[in-house]
Amino acid sequence: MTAELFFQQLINAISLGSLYALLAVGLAIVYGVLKVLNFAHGDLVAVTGYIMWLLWMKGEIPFPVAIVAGIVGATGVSILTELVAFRPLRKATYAVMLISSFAISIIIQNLIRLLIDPRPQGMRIPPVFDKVISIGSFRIGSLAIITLVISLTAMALLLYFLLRTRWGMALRAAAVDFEVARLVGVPANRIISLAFAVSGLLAGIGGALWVIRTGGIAPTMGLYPIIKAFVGNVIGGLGSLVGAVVGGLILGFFDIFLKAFLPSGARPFVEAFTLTAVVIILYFRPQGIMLKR
Amino acid sequence: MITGWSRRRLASAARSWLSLSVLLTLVVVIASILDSKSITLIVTSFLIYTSMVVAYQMFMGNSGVVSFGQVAFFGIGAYSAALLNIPPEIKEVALPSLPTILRQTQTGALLAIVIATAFSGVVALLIGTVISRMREDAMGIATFALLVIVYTIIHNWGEVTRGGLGLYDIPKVMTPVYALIGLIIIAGVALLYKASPIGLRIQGAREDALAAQSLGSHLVPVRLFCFVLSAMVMGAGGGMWAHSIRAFGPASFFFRDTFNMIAMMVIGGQASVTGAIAGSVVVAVVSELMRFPEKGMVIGTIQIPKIYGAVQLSVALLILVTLILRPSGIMGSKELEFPFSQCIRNLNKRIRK
Amino acid sequence: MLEVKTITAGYGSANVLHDIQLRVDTGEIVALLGANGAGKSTLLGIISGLLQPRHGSVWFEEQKIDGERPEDILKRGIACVPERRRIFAGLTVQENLRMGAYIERRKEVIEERLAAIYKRFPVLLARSRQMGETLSGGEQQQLAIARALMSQPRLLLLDEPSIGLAPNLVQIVMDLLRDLREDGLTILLVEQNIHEALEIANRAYVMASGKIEVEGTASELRERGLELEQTYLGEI
Repeated sequence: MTAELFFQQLINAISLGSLYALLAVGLAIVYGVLKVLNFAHGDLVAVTGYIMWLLWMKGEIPFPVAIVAGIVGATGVSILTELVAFRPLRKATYAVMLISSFAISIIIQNLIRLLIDPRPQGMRIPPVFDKVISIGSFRIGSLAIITLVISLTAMALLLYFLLRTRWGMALRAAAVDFEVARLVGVPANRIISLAFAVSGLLAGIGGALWVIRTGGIAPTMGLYPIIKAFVGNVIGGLGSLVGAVVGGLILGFFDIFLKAFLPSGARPFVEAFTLTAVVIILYFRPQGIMLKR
Repeated sequence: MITGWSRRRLASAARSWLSLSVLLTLVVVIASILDSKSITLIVTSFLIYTSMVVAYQMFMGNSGVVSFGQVAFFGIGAYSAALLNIPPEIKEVALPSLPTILRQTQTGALLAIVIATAFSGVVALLIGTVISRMREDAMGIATFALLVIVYTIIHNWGEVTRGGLGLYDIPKVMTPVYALIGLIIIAGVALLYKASPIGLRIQGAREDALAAQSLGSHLVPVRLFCFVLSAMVMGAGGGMWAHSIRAFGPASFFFRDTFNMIAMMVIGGQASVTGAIAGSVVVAVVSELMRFPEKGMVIGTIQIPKIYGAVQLSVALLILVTLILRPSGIMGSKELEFPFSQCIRNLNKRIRK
Repeated sequence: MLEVKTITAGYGSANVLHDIQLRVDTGEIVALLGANGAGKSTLLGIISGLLQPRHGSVWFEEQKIDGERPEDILKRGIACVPERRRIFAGLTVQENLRMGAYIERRKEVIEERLAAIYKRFPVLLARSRQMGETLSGGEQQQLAIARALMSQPRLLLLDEPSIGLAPNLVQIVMDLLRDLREDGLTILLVEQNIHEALEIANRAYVMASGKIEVEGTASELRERGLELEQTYLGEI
């Protein structure tokens, strides 16, 4: 492998990893307050995609507007799912909440089939995402750069929110000790809704990037995002936001470099390899990679 | 805290087994009287599917751990059994790259299913050693990963599985009676496990996190046993299933069946074998009913448009409603028990008069 | 100030508290004593709003407060210092304190309170930028109390502040509570450590198996000290 090829793949890996990290962190935010992994998080990607498709392909609305609308939509649906499914089950066991998040996921997928369109669709992607930028003898895709920049910006904004705002601090406190957070006056319902809103926002941004990357939508498209988000969290250590980011990045590296190095016959098995590697990691370090906890 | 076999529990389990067996046998008898090809098909497939739901229940119900991966063993069992029992002439043509032993053997359905069961057990043992060491939240994802891994392998390993094309010409051996026997045996295993000391141990850990902690590292082998047992029965179910439909492809063992089976367990009652069966009935009925709106219907002169996703929407909503209103499901953790001894006593009294 | 009337409460099928009657008058320190499992923490949970009683009511300054949400009870002026400190790990000392004043939105007020707290707890000022979990046990207890004080409560509930602390640190905590009473704070102190608690309390109750078994002034109970210990608190 030449130095150029390696460097290009490195950029791709970091870029994809940052997208996975974005999705993983969104999941981790809700996990922090509810201590449950929300299956329906992946389907927010589908929601974003379909809104974008409706506006951009069917409604001829400018692409940037479609993206924003998609993100807003994902946020809204996220808040709605909390109200409808998680709030009534507030006192339930982990298993019950996990299954109900699974049910919500199926509901969202089928509502999309019912209300919008059941078949997979293609999306015409604006050419700005298709360019190749040459730096010396290195060639980097504009999509990789854009994905990286946006993901990093989103995560930086999240960090600012968590570290420097009152609500962000409350969210962190609630994630550490929900009961005591209530004792100091943090309103339970509102903080959980906030968590879902933030989570939905991150899923929306990640979803827009995902759709641009894959160029298509389908009602079940949330499957791979949720797998990546799940796995990123578990590798990094459940309950750790930083862990989720690190886990997502590692996953991105796995995906890109496995694809690059595996013989072409084994390519379809990349997913299986990655997941097997994850399971092996978990065997030796069940609590995840991060050192804390 | 080692409990032994309890005579009371065994007797209760035996009564449940008898009750369920009687009930299911009745269903098959009625179906055979009706003597319709479609009903025979429906009953056979229902019984086999229910066997797998019971297998699923054996893990989830007793351990309390949500697993999204048991259906992987359905797939492994089905493919193993099919590959063992498809006639060699077909295999020569369809699967030329299969190892010679496999290609030229046809073991007969029973042996195929037995080997499939054993193979599922081996795979489950390997994977289970990793999974049972994890914390509960991670286990759900790990089983999910298992599902995806198995699906990916099956879908892409064309030399062995014909990938997306699937296998065909599997001898269609299963009849309602065979399926009934299968389900009765499986229900017996499930009820026996539920009443056994090792079953009680894992139920204790399910109920109480503190009890789980006091079990400490002993929890791992207990969980592993539960996982492997469930996987083996699932594999058996898969083997039976492969022999009931002649041809199948990988799309079957993925999300849809996982979703359906989880729905059946939740609605019927996770902690109960009867619940798994009851839930199976409920979800099957609802699904069949909702298939009509999904295909679009004509009522009188009104054309109702297709309601895509009606089936899954209804089932998913049913899950949510159950979890919100009655999380323990229809049966809770109770089993069906006809008061046989009571009936016999009453009968004796009447005879004496 | 605080009145607990015939409270019965529990989890699942069992009741943990039976017919509890209790009173705290303004400016007092009232000690609630009892062994593990006596139900003391449950009672605090009910007063602070985290738990709901099955029967009975809780009155604060002539107002019925049982059934209200924790944030509303906090706004009324009741703050709780939970068992085992439970400071927010991953947040700095300063952030922990700010969380204590969460219901207060005016920045200047929060800054004033922070300054006052730092004056009273110089060790917290020294460690203000450190992560909460890096503090020692005694410092964490001070942080937990300081955090509760940030909401300027009129009634302070403390759940076993002396647990896991060396005797000299326990003394510091008790002295602090005495000072707070001088400043006009009313305190309900749950404790297993009867000696220390009775030293500073005005009145006390002894709980066992979810019932109030003994009540009286601190001096009365001090006389019966050994007998109470053996009967109700087992061996400490």
